[in-house]
Amino acid sequence: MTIKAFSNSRAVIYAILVHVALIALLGVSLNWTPKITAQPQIQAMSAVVIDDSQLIEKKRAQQQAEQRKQENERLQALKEQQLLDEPRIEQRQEERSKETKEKEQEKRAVVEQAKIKKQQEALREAKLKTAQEEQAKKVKQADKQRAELEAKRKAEDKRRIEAEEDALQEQLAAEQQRRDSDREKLANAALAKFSVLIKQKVQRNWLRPQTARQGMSCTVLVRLTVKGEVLLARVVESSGDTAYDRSVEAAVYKASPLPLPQDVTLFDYFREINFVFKPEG
Amino acid sequence: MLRKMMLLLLLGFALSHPVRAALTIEITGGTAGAQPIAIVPFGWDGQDALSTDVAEVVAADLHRSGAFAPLPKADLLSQPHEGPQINFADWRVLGAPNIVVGKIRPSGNGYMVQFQLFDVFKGTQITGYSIASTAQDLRRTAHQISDLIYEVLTGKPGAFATRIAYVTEVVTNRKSRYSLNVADADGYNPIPILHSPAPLMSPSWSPDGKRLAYVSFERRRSEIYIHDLATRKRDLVASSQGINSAPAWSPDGQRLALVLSKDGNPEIYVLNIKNNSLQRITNSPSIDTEPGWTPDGARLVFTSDRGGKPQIYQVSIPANGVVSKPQRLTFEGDYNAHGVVSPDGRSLVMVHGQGNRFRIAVQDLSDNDLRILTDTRLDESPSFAPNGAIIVYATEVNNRGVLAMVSLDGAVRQRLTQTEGDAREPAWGPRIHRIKP
Repeated sequence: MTIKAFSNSRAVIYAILVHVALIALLGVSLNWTPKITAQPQIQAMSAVVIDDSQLIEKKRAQQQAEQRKQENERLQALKEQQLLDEPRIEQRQEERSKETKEKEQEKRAVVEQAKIKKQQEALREAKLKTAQEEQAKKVKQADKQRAELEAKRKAEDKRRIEAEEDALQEQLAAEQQRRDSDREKLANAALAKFSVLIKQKVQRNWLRPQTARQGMSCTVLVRLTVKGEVLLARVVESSGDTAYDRSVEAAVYKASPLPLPQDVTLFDYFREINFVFKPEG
Repeated sequence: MLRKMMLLLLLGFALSHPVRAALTIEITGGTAGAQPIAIVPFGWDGQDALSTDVAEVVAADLHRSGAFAPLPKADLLSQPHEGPQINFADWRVLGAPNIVVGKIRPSGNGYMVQFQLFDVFKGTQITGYSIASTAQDLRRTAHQISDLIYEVLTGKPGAFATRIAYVTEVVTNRKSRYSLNVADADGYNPIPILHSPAPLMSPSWSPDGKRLAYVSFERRRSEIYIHDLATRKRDLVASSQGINSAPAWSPDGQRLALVLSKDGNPEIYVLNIKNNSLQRITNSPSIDTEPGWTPDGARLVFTSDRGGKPQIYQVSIPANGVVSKPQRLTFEGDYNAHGVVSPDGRSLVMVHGQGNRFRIAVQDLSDNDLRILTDTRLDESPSFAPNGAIIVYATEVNNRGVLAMVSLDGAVRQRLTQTEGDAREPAWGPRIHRIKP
């Protein structure tokens, strides 16, 4: 339970970290240009997913490459604009003579240029906007991926823990089986040996009454202490003859303590014994 | 996490509570023998010494039954008189599964006798009673205690508080004096109920223990009397010409089987005591004698030499009066006589002759296995204790007739004490002084 609580608190810490990161991101995006804003965002993400850092690293590299590509494209566009501007200046110098006529033309050109510039500016704005939107989309996507990854990680964790538990269980079962089979071997040897010793001791202590007849049988259930002392002897199947039944009980009590193996782990095999008393073999 | 905990729990459970069938060990053989029992001398609160050592009487009774071997007094560790004084751990060492303690205190004109029987191994009381008694009755009280102990430990009724009837012959100045006596089952307190200069023979108890049938030669020929012990009144019931002998009371007390020779040679008859009607049971040119009833009263066993030598036969005497053809029961040996069927109907006890030895033997009626119970030479007149555990019989020791008892397994044989003369023909009476456990 404590471990579960701990994993919850860890999730809470992560959640707080993510929120702090997002708030920081909001603050930053007001002052800085969008192209740099992606940097802390990714750092924040890398703080979340510890286990899957490689994947995140790859993702970040991809995003950086994307940003670099966009920047290059923008620079290329600016450069192309400059190249477009130069012949127009040359043309104006060449046609300085026709100033009046050309002044208007120039004026128009200026207007045209301003217009183009404005258009270019708008284009640039639009491009930036798109980039920003795309960036937001990417952030959102990253969030989603992160959540998915988190879920996946959790699922994997769960599977792993379960697998570990299953393995442990199997291992324990196997060990138990091995122990059991070792114990079984030991127990069988002890059973063979001590059954005979117990039988002999009880037999020596049995005084058969004169009423004993062939075919009589009395079963007495005996409970032993670890030292072999008879705790209880109870007739569970009477011979029908009171003296016979009593002689059977007495035999077991008189034989107490019964010989038991020294190894107390084998006591379970001797805890309860049924003795069947018959006058003839 | 929970699964792990469950697993550990299950493992723990499995280790501490193994589900395993109990080991089964078969015990065979053992030693046939009497159970040791500790019988501690009873405590006595009164002034003068008691006439009877109750514990000793109980010990002797239980010993005689063959089922118990009372520990010698010297082996007793201490002398507890009631439960709380018994240290069971000490007594367990002696190996006797049971201990009897008791005490006697004066009460009115008599005594109050208390005894308790304990299971030594379990440390629990099995039974215990307080019995009012008197100086005269103290022995009987002791026998009653023996009965209670015997019954609870063997599951069969005791037969110690019973009586035996027997005949004694005392010869003085070459003249014989015969007596019919009734004594406690252990031979104590003999009371002569009849003296006669002529032979007395074959006493037989009525099932209620109030009357005795017997043969008397007081009128110089054999006749059968029924003698009421309380009123001392006698009735002559058979006085036909020739032999009138061997009366045997039927289990229902209504009939008397007997031997009459009025029709030529000795035959078995059944006399209805109430209406004096007589039914002839046997009809053969041989001697038929010594009738005895089966416990159900439906058959008679008797001795006959119809096969050349005395053997024991059996006939059915159904209510319709048609007697079956006699069926021979004994086949082993040349001489088997005086058959008596045990109270449980399973065994036939007889005098078994082998050469010049006549001993008491028991035959299992299911497999006809014959066992000789005694080791004397001239045994006669076996009679079962009412519980079938002991047989009383007469035998000869140093040319003197004495009474003896043997347990049904032959393990315990004991002579009864006797003051003078020859004793013979014992008959064990029914149980009448009985405390119901």
